[in-house]
Amino acid sequence: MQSAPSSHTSKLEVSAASRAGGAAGGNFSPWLLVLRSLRFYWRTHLGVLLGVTVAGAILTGALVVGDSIRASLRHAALARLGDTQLALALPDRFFRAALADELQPDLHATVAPLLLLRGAATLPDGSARVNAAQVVGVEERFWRLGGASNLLAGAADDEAVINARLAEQLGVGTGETIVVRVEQPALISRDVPLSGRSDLNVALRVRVRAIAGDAAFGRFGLRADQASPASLFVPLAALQAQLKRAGQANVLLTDATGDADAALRRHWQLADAGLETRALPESRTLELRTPQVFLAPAVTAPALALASNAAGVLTYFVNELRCGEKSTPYSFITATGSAQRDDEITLNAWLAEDLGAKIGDEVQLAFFVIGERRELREGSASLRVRAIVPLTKDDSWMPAFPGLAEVHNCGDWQPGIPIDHARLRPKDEKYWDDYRGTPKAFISLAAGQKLFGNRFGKLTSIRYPADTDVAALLPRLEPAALGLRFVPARAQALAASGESMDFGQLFIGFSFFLIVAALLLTAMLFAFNLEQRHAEVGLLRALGWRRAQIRRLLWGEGLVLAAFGTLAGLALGVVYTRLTLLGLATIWRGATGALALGYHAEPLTLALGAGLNLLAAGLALAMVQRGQSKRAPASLLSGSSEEIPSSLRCSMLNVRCSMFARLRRHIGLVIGFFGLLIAIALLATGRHGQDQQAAEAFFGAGACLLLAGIGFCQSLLAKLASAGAASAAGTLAGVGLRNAARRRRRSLTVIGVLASGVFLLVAVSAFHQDARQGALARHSGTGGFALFAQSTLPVYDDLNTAAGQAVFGLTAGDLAGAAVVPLRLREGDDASCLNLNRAQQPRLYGVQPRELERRGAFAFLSGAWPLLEQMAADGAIPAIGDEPTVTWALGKKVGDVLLLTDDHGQAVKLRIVGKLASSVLQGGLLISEKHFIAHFPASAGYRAFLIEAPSPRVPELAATLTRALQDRGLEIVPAWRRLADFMAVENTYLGIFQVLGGLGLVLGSLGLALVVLRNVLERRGELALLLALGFRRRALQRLVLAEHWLLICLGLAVGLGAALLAVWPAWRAGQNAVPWGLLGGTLGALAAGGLLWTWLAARAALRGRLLSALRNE
Amino acid sequence: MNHPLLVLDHVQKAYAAPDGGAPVTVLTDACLQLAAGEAVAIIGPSGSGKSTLLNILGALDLPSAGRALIAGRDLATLGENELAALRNRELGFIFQQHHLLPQCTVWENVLVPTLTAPRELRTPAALARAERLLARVGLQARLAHRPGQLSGGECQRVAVVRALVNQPRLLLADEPTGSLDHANAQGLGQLLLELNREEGVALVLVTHSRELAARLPRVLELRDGALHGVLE
Repeated sequence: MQSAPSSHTSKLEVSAASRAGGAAGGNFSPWLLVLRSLRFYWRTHLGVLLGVTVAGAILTGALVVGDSIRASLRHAALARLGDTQLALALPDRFFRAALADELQPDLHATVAPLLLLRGAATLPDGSARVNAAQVVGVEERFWRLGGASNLLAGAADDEAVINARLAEQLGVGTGETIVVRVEQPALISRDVPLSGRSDLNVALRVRVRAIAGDAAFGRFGLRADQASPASLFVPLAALQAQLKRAGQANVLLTDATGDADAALRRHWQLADAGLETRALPESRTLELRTPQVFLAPAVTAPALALASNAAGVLTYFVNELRCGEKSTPYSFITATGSAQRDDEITLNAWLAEDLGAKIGDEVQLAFFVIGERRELREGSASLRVRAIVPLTKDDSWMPAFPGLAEVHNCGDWQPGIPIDHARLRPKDEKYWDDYRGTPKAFISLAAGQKLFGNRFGKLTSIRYPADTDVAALLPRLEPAALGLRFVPARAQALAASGESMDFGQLFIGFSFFLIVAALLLTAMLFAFNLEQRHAEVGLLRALGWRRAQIRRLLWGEGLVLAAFGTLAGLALGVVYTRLTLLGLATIWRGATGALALGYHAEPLTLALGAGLNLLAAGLALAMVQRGQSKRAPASLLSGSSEEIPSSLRCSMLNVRCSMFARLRRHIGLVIGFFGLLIAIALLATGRHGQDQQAAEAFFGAGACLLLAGIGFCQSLLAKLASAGAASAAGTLAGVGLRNAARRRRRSLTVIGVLASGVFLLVAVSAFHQDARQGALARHSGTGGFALFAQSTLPVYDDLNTAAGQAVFGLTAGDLAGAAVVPLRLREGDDASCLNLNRAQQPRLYGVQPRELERRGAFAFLSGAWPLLEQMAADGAIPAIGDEPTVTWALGKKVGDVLLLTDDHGQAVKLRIVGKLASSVLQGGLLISEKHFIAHFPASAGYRAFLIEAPSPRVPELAATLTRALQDRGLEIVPAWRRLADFMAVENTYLGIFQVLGGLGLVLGSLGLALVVLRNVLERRGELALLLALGFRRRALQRLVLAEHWLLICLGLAVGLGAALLAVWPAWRAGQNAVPWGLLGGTLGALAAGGLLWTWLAARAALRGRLLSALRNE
Repeated sequence: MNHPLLVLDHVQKAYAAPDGGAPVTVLTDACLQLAAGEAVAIIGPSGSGKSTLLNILGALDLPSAGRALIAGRDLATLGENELAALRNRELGFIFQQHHLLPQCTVWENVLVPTLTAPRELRTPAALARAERLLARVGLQARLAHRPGQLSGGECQRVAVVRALVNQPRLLLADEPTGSLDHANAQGLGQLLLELNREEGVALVLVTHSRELAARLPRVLELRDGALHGVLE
């Protein structure tokens, strides 16, 4: 050993010392001290670094999952639109395809005309069927917009391109033949009386020429759905020919970004507005009319204002004219002018003779008006004969009623209303032959509109003097009012994907426990490191370092670790994101459906993730070191890491314990009792609440009980640690219990992590939903309906009536005991949880509220069916949706308003007035049929059906209806299965949460192992002493295990107790399928894992020459 | 005696009992005056409160009653930062364990107190002083070594230099030879006495070694919570 040097030691140069000091030299600084510490304690710091890395990876990875989903949705949105910026789509009318040619030079852009129709595709042998297909008539410009080559170039009329989705669903390849049925477009809405036959459709038999993938614009669609539609592309001209719509289109796509609506106004013609004019030389007039029979309300006002002497005309088909005993069947009557009173009628001579009527006689009219669901009601009127005029042939008054105007013989009439052909006499046939639709009588326009007017219009034509400039009408019309309006399809698609469900937030929520567990582990490891360095802190204090300086020094270390850990986390986050995306594409496919997922990270997201992780880790580490720096220097210098009771700390710091400090001493009890009180209060309120409130109250009570349990554990540990509990140390197990209390913070961290993890895992499992449970109950998500059906083409007839059933060849016996509640459907964005995009124009259902109210169908979270009938003062249409639709898909709440454009081109407000619990109606908003018809007449007929049926008959009924309505593309599923499809998304989310929560618990149990190792290593001397005193090694192991198993048991017991309280209502009601097996397995594995970790750690720490530790002491 | 550097005026110190019972009194009536450059040894049996007394002298702890003054400043009136500054500039500590930072070299360990000193004190002259002191204790060749590479005696000598680097007026040594063998203990005792003389720093040496205490000009015994003169 070197002796103390003498006083005459030679003087050294500063520079020499600097050199000797190496890098430090004279530049020794706090930062260098930080670096030295980081290097020296690298082993423990490595643990901290890993903890921060894991937390950072999960945090950043979760956020990047959000980026990836958004980018994938954006990619899908752009794939379905190609270069399309704007789209004009008319669901129920057609315009000139040449309009596209005229717009192109004006817009300096490509404008593609399309025919876009719904259809049902089948294999010729019927072995495969896709009901919800879209049939698109396209030409070269369509492919140009899609950035793809024209796959139909030089195609024959019977050739088609199908997209990958349709090919997959039908299982066909190129060269094979498929049959597609589309509805023969009606001239007028099928809801209109006299609209002709309702069951007309066109079958196309085509050979598959090519299969278009996403890159070949096969994903084309106008709705913001993440799944590709099943599409069939045929040459536009061929489809026009098949539909007898030569030169017509119903959709325009363009890549123009300018004001296309203005260009439309410059180029549109009356034909595009569905109008035509013709000269009537006999009457020296011009007539404005429409192939759609009734002039739209948006047209009539400006058209009548065009000339002061314009005359409105309404011609209608009546069932009978009767005068006394004599009657004339099926005749046209024209209402025009106001020369006669509203209760008067003028007959032509033929009719007067047929009826034997003379001036002043009463004539009765009988005619059909169409009620709800095309229900025919016969109206009648009694009018007095004012005049009798000579018969002159003039069938120009007759509009082009389908099924009437174009037929030669009365016997061929098919006007869409029942015609009793037996009533037609030879003279009637002769009249038709000679005079066609020449009206047999005239009434005033006011009287006619009162009797025959309907929501589609109150005029069938307008007549002008021959010299009227009818072309001047065009500038007076508003194209948008007729549905001719370009919508910013691309902007809407990007908005839908941009505002999509934030999977980043969702996955942070799912990963929250995992992140917290990683951070707790990090904090624990950092605390271990600081405990190792108590003497160092004490020394610095003794050397005159201020607390703040020491805090900065230690925090600097923590910050460097957090920074490097965060950087490493960014790299590891890529792995986490990719694994998550892989999970979402495979085992968690239910959460994202058919969306093709790709990795994408925004720099800002990475920065945000890194920043958040740095903040969280920095805070965790700062909190740990703040706790350390509170200790007195003398205590720190002793190097002990024993926790000091606050009473002693006050005394050692020579300060009076404040009330707060005294309160802190009992903080566990305070938290425990408050938690318990709140839990009891919640239980008291929840017991009498509705299902949802009860579930929420019990969950809240469970959470409070968890907090209370952890508080009581803290109190128990404090009690065990106090000297008063010395008697407990009489046995080896007692000593173990006392030891568990020595590092209360560590012990409490372990208990807290385990208890919280168990609570979350078990409690969340109670939210697993089973659609089969209570599926027949009216208040369930099925509404008590056995089947849910949706058709590709509308059904106009009431399937509950014999007439409606007869249309489809059904009999009353087929539907015995069943009832069908039909819903109108306006196609829109799928606003269900199956679509991740934020629905911009949600799907709408038109319902009859009273029908559902009468049945007590579906459970309301707020509101009631009758609210749908009320109209708000601001004209907003009341709407109801289920919880997932309103809250999650649309991001709305009750009272919020959505803006839509109706079929008249008007902006309409939809106000959410009620919310259903999750239901089969998810994905759309429900409005009353009355409002639906008024605003969305283009969506005629019914396309969705809720069907109730006796359970034993359900399969048979489903098969019968599917067969009978196959031409309508009816697809029927058990209502519970449809509900289950929706629930699968939520259940998948819960599954993800549980998997990630389970990983959090693994980290928690790892923390337990570290605590055991640390505790035992710290006490090797103490344990060696016990060995020296004659204790056997096995006994020491029991001692160590006793104290740590206590922690496991407390953690599991507190978590499980709280969780069982939280899930009690669900368990009792048996509504949700609690996966007891999975939970039991998880908890069992957790307990077994914890015990194993503890045993291994204790065994590892007690191995070797324990007595040498005693010598070191 | 000059104007006293250190004054203990009827100092008492008691700790609350862990079980909530009557407080445990360690110091009952400790009185002491020490002039600049003076050296005193305090002896006493284990548990007599020597370390408690030294903690109070070192401004690491405050008396329960009575006053402790260093350079005329009552410690009870000083805030935490003022106490820290006092420890940094007026006091030097030598502990039974050397408490060197294992991650730092000898040179860095010596400079640790300077890191918190005012900027004006961190001059080349201060570094030169550190070098001179290290040379004085015979460690000029070990500057780049870490504590783990030194013997116990060497570590304790580094601790001595660290205590003196900021030119304190009072050096407090708590059983500095307690963990050393006899030869090293002898050498360290001698070094402290020499430094006391050479640097003009007052020295309070707490020890249970009567042999070491006897080498100091003044010896006090801490008994029943009070200081009693042994050798004058």
